[in-house]
Amino acid sequence: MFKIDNVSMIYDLNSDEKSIALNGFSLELPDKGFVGIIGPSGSGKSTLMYIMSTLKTPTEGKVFYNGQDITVLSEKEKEKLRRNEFGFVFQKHYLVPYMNTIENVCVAGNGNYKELVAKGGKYLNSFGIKDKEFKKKPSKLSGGQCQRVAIARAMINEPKVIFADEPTASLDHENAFKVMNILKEYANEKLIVVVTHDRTILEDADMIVKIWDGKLSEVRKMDKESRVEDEAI
Amino acid sequence: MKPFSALNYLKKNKNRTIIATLMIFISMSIIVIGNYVASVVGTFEKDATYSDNLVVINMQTTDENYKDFKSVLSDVKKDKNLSYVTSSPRGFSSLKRNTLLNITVGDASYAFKNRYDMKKVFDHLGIEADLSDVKNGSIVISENLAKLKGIKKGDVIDKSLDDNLEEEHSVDAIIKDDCYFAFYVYDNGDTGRIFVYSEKYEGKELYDYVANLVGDRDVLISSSIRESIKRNFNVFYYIFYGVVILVAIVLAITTGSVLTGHYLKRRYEFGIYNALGLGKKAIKKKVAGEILIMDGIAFIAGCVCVLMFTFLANELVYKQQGMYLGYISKTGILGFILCNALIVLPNIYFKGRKMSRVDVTQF
Repeated sequence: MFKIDNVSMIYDLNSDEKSIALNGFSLELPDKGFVGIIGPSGSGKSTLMYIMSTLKTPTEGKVFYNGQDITVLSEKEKEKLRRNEFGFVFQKHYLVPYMNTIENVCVAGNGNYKELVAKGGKYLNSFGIKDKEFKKKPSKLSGGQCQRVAIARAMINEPKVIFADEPTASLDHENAFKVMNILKEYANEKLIVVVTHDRTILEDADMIVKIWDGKLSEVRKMDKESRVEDEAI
Repeated sequence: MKPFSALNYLKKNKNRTIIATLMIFISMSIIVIGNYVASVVGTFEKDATYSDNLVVINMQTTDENYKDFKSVLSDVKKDKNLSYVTSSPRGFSSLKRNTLLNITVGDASYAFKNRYDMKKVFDHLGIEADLSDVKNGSIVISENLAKLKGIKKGDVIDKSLDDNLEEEHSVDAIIKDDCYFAFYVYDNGDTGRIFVYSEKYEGKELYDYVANLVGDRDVLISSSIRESIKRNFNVFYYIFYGVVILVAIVLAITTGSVLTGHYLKRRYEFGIYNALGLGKKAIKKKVAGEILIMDGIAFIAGCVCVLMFTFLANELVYKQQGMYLGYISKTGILGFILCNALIVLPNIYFKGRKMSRVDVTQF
């Protein structure tokens, strides 16, 4: 699905203090499954996610999504891709404070609003959020609930890829476990890319990509049945 | 209601909406100011209409034997397209009056030899009046001017009421008309002025026709006062539009900073919209929608307030004083549109542009 070809990202390219976030990075990702991108702070893992999701354009290199180079798309085409094919979960939930739970889920949904509400409601119920909480604003929900609402928002258009940037960083262990379970289940059908520096949440990952200093350090693919590492680069 | 809609934000953030709407609402005061300016100028409209329909030919003081004047009068008499009345060459002033903006102004006046001549001209000008009591030394004024000066039919007025009056005049008729002219009856046996009117011509056509008839004979033809009113009152419009621009700049800055505060608090919201692919265009439309709806609310509320204020001001104050404040004027509307555009359009453009560029990766 994704083919990242020799991608480099240099911030403040024209200044004296330019910093290299990615340096000639290449990688291929499968069509579905749970992919974890791990690395220390400042290693370039978030930058990689932003480039893959069209939120940033690399300084050099190409990113192919279903065979199409998405780095050369127009802003409008990128917006369309993000709206229809990608979903996002961030470290903070970034729910809109004046909207209630169900509105937050449906805010970027495509199609009939009533159908979206029904679909969003099903997602929320399946994530353990009850109907009575649908009318609550984010300030009345717990951190874990907010993050689950954010995941429902990311799933509302049934995207082919969900990008999750440190999705459990601001959660306690129990909530982190719930959030990861939801994402793992979605990974049975679609692709989930989780960026983290916390190795524990990638225990069930189908593929782990290690980044160090903007370069690919290691790729491990796991056999789902045996949970045995079957490849290492 | 769709969560992304502009109305949804405004509905759920009433306090912020009220504050921003109030800022825009203030711009509605421009309509009232414009109405004041237009009302002052508007009080001269009837005077101008009268002078459009009458050309006054005056003898020149240099025409010692009235030679030219008499020859012109003879030609006017012969001309089938023209009607006329003659009067004394002596001039009279109108009464001074205060306008809505408390500026003292004076209007024009006409003096006729007798009530029959006055009636002829009134009929031509469409002024209805009972002139049965009018005699030599009478003054005829409008109901508005009478209220403004605090006089009524039968009163004898002189310098003590108005500096412009050189002698006593009795108010022997009051006309129901919006003008502020003073019509005198005065006859000392001299003739030095001709009031020329026509069923066929009016305005510039009438003036040109009379001027052509007069040719190069040494008489003075008074043109319509419309141009001189424009000349004298243009300064009001310049001041008004200057005020509009000043008010607009001040309001644009204050409204802009209020809105900037609102949108700065919402950077996360717009950042996430961008990430979710809602699109720059949709975000700009949302911002524009929010500002325009607030503008619309301010406009409707403002219109209600302007109408109520004007109604109360007219009924309780101005009508009793013989004055009138218009409910709507081209000046007020134009001023408001200019002021509103200066406040709203830059905010729509800059806030929309800024919010559509919020980058979630920067948080």
